[in-house]
Formats: sequence, structure tokens, C-alpha cells
Amino acid sequence: MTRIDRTEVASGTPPAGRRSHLRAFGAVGVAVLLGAVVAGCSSGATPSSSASAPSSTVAPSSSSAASVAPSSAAGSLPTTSEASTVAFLLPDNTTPRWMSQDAPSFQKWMKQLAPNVKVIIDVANEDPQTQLSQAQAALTQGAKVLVVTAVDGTQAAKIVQAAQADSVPVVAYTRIINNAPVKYMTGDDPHEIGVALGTWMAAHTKQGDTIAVIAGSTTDSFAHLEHDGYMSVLQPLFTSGARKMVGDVWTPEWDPVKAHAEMDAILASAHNNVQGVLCANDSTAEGAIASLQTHGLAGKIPVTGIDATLASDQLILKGLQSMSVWRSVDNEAQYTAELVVDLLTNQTPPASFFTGTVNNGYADIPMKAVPSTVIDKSNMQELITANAIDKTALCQGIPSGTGPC
Amino acid sequence: MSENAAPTVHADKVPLGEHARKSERRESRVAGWLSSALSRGTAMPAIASLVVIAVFFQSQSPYFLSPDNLTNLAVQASLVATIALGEVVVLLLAEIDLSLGSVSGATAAILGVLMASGNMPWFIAVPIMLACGAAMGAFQGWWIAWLGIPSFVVTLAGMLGFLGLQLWILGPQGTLSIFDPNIGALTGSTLPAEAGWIVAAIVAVAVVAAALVRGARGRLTMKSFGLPVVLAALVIAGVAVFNASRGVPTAFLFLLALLVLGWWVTQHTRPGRHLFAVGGNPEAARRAGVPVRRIRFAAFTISGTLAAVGGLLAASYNASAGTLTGGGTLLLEAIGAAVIGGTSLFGGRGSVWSALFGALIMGGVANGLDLTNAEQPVKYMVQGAIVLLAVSLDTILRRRQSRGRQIGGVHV
Repeated sequence: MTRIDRTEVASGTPPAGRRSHLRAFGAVGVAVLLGAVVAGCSSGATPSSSASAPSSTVAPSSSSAASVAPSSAAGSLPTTSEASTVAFLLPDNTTPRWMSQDAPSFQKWMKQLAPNVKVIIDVANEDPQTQLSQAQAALTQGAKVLVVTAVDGTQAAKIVQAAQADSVPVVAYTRIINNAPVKYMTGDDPHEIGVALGTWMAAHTKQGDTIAVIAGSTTDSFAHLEHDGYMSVLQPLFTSGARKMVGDVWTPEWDPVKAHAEMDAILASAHNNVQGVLCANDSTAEGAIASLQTHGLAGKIPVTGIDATLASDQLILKGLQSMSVWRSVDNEAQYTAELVVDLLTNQTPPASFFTGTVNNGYADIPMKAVPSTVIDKSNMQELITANAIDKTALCQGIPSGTGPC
Repeated sequence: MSENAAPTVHADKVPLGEHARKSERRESRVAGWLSSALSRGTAMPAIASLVVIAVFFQSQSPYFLSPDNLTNLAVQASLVATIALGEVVVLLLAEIDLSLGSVSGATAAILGVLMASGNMPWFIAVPIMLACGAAMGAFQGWWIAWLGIPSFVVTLAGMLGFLGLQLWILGPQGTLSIFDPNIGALTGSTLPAEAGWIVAAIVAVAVVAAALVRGARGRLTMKSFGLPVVLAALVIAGVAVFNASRGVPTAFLFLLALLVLGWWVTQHTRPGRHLFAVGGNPEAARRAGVPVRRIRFAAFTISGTLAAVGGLLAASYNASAGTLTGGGTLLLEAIGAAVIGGTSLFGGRGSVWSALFGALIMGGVANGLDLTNAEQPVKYMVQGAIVLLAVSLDTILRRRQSRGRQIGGVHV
């Protein structure tokens, strides 16, 4: 696998977790205000049944992902006999996937592989300081392994140091932790995902076509690595004149409203002469598609995305978005649980288990990347089979006979 | 402070210089507003900033002033301006509402759940979401007006709580698509060219006729007649520009209707006058018999409702309601727009139009930077510089005017 030095790329940009929204503290206030607010609102006008019932029908879809067959793991996985504790530290509550997919999947796999091990789940509300406190509390409670999705990839080095003082290994989950003795890393390979996007876009446009590029959040190192990935494919085409580029705009916080405005500006400056839109994820794609709709271009030109979110899956079924890239959270959780069990039982996974290494500025960390799949109308059934999305929610408002609906 | 601040927005109710008051009484309401706004600088610095921004970005990109781009800009600005209008209402009271972004996000989520998961038709779902916004605003208004808790604290709590409500309603899927074409049309559609011209004609005739009627009663001055003509010309020019692209955006027309309603309420109704009175000097207002608590309560109910309208526009704009709806920099952009547009952070001075001008300035800069393909770090720095310059321009022009009128002193 070709791999670039992540820290080198990421070092030029602020760490991922520094996105400054005060809103992220929301979860703190929820407990205080939720009851009062719901009461206030439903007494105002909302029939409380209609506001809460649908959301509860959505809820079980991803958390009830119980019936996935255990696939062959890295090596032999003896279950631990003695009861021990591991902690899973997640960064925030605002990104749906952490609590709805990662946490339940990890718990499920731990239960399967090591039923006696207690799993602590903590969510840091996007505050690196909170995450450090949570790590310390987990160590005090006797955690033997920490699995960390860092709020801030650089500040999280302190978490690794604290764990090291107690001889507790740290597995970096999805996000790299810089300059620290991280034991293993699991997650996506943003560069590879970027290459997949770029390759797909090159294949779905013709000689002389103009491609608009809407990049991700400039404060997110993922966005930069992904950008390097698709540009490694597209830049030679732009240079040779085989394709033309417009835009290449960064989208603060991956905000669809910003992406919409960016797409508007691109279309205005290109006089609507755009034959493909490379969007760095599904939420930017959502904004770009809304803009294409007002200009009568939606569904007529290819639009990319990644994450295979419910909203984008529906856009794909409606023919407005062309594809999305999906990585199985369940696979990632499974690989992580396998590594955790190995660490608890003092085993070393075979080198073949890993897909490569990541240089985090301290060492080359063994990395297990989750394979990514290009999802479009034809293979969307895979998402339903893997319990990644709920069929009822997906097919809401989609004509039957379209894709898996 | 307040004694000097109040006249700048409400000359016909509070004594100014004797000659100024006499001349202004004779003017029509429209002409009166325009001339007072322009001469007293409520809108002038913002308009000056807009001109500078337009000239600068046109020199950087030939597309900035193209009809297509201006049409895009009008739709983008409608979103921020609606939230900013809600902020203006509470800023006039010398209060602040930090919850508007979260309220718009939460109400958008309610709309998403009702329509996407509940299959409810838009004409039922939209009133429910607006009522929820009003209820959220009223809930906060009650704490502020009757318990006397500072609005900063109450709405900070609201910002957190309503964000929580938004995330809870959306559930684990995060984003709900809203495919209803009626919702999409709010920001996605434009008036047919003919309809645009008809609207322009009606507005132009109405404005000029109002000035003529007023003028015929009193002395026909250049001021009372010239400005309505300028306004009518602007409306016609605007429609011409929009028609050169896709037509007058429905969202922009909707925003203008909201602004005219807001202007009428704040300038020509008793509650509107009370708003300025309470914002200028709450104690004096209370002694004069103004129902201060009810005014505060009403203001927050209105701002909550407008946040819900903003949520509706946002849901329409991206055909979805998600965890990011109403988030990001929306709240700061709205407060920034209100202040850049000329509404004081300290109450009693401002105008609903500042929401429009401020949103156009903020949106114009962001759009101009998008067009010039500026790097993100550069964008942030330029946006920061322009916010500072626009407010400084506002302050300097205002100070000069107040000196010229010899009502100087403490500047707000």
C-alpha cells in the first residue's frame, strides 16, 4: 500500500478537534433543559407523538446490528478469563456515528470476543481537556487498554503519556494521535478514499470536461489527506488539459450551507459549464446538489460524496448524487476489538493483520485500515444487509423498485 | 447615552432640533424613513460598505456583479437576514439572543421529522414548526421578562438546550432529507419575469404615489419626493437584474415582505414605539407606563418565531434538516449582520433594514471570496478585517453626523 506520511501533511493545519463551536457543549445543557424545552414546545403546538415517535423508529436501526456473522479474525483469539476493563473514548455527541454505530458495534464485538471484559464508553463533547480527564478516570477505574478517537490529535498525546505511566496501551481509533507511543491504529485511509473519489470522477467525465472541486473542512486533517488523494489522480489531468478544474474551495466545518454557496459561486463563474462535481463528503455533496437543483443541473452531472449517510443514500436513489464511499463501522469496531483482546491477553497479532503503518511523528504505528466500498444505486442493498442503514428510513419517499426499495 | 440614541431612530417621537422636526413631520412615512435613515446614517454606512465591497470584488472577479451571482447572493443573504431580523428585535431592547441558531436548527429538525418520517403535508408541518419556534422564544422570554434573568444567560442555556433537542429529534441518522417540492420552492424558485415586473410596477407606483399624496398636503420638497423616486428606481433596477438571470428569488421577496412588516411594526405601531423606549431607557419607559415585561416577552417570542422561519429557509435551502442546520457560524453571522447593518448592541438604536444590509455585506464578502478562489486562512482574515472596517465606518460616520447636528456627546 502506498502511504504518505500523515504527520507531515497534517502538521501544516490545525488539528481536527479545534473546530470552535460553542454548540458542541450542547450535550451538557441537554440534561438541564431538555425536559423543560420539550414540555414548552409540545404544550405550544407539537403533537408530542408525532415529534418523538418517528425519531424513535429511526433509533433502533443501527444499534440493533446484532446479526452480523463473526468473520475470520486476524489470528487466534482466546477469550480472556479474568475480568478486566477497557475504555472507549469518543470525541463528541454531534456526529451521529460515534454513539449510534461505533459504540454499540465495539460493545457487541467485545462481548463476543471477551464477555468478561467491562467496556467503559466516554464522550468528550469536543473538548480535549474533558477527554484527558475521562482517560484519567478510566485509568483510575483500572482500564487495561484505552481506545481513543482523539478530539485533538496533538493534545491527545497527553492521554497516551498518562496511559503509559500506568503501562496501559492506547489504540488510536479513526483519528491519529501525533507524537506519542500509540500501540496500534485502526480507521479509514483518507488518502486511499481520496484516490477512489478521484479515480471515479476521472472515469465518469470525458476529455475536456470541467470538474468542480469542493473540498472539506480546512481544519480537519482528514480533509487534507483526502484532498491529496483525489488531487493525486486529478491534478495530472488538469495539468495536461484533459480536464479543467473550477473551484477547489474548502468548506468550513463541512457545512452544507457553505457548500451550497460555494457551488453557486462556481456555477456563476463557470456559466454553468460544469460536467462533474467532486465533493469531499456527503454533507458538502448535499449542499452542492441543492445548488445544482436551482440551476437545473441536478441529476445531469456526476456528484461524489463519502460516508454513505442516510440523506445521501436517498439522494443517490433519487438520481441526484452519483455515488458515496462507505466504510463499515462494524468492521472497524471488530478489528479494534480483536486488537484490544490481543493486548489484554499479551498476544501480538501477525504482521499480515495490518494493512500498513502510519507515521505519527513518534514511530511507524501498525495500522489496520478498513476497506472502502463505492456505493451507488446498484449495490445499496449492501448497506441494508450490513445493518448500516434502516431500510424503512431509506425508502421513505423513494418510489418502490428503485435500488433496494 | 439613551437620550442621544433614541432620536436617531425615532425623530418624529422624540424632540430633535426644532427645524429638523418640522421638516420631517411633513414628509410621507416612506420618504420620512428613507430621508431620516439616509441623513441620520442608519443605513448610509452600510450602503457605503456595500458599494466598496461591490467595487472591490468586481475588480477581482468579473462575475461578482453578474445577474446570476447577485441572484445567488440574494437567496444566501435571505437566510442570514431572517435570523438577523430576529436578533435586531431583541437588540433594540438592549438584550441579546444567542439561541437563534439552535432554535432554527431544532425547528428545522421538527419539520424534518414531521415531513420526512411523519409524512405530514407542508401546510400542517410548517405552522407546527413555526409555533414551536414561537414557544421556544416565549419560554426564554418568560425567564427573562418575569424572572429577570439576563438574556445572555437564558439564551446561552437555550442555545445548548435547543441544540440538544435538535440532536435528540434527529436521532442517530443525523440528517433527514426533505424532498417536498413546496418546501424546496421557498428558496429554489423564482418569480416569472412578468410577475417580477408587475411586483416592481406596483411597488414603484405605490411608493411614488404615497410621496405625491403627502407632498400635495404639505410642501413638496426635494427630500420628500426625490427619495421615493430613487427607491422606485432601485426596485425596478433590482427586478431587471434578477430577470436577467433566473428571475426575482421567492426567498428574497419573502424576506422583503418580512422586513416591510417589521418596519411597519417597529415604526408605526405602539408596541414598536415601546420597543425603542424600553431599549433606550427601561426605567423611563416603565414610569411612562410601558408594559416592559410584556414587551420583552413579545420580543423574544418574535425572535424565536423568526428563527423558526430561518430554520424553514435553511431546510428548504439544503432540502434537508441535519445536525449542522442552524449551526456553524450562523448565529455569529446574524448578530454580526445586525450590528454591521447599524443596529446598536446597547439598545434603542437600529432598524430592521440593518438585517438586510448587514446580511448582504456578510454574504457579499463570503461570496466574493468564493469567487476569487481565496485560500481559507485568507478568507477568515479578510472577513475579520471587513467586519471591523464596516463597524468602524458606521461609528465614524455616525459620530460626524451627531457632531454636525450638535447632539453629540456619548456615542452609542
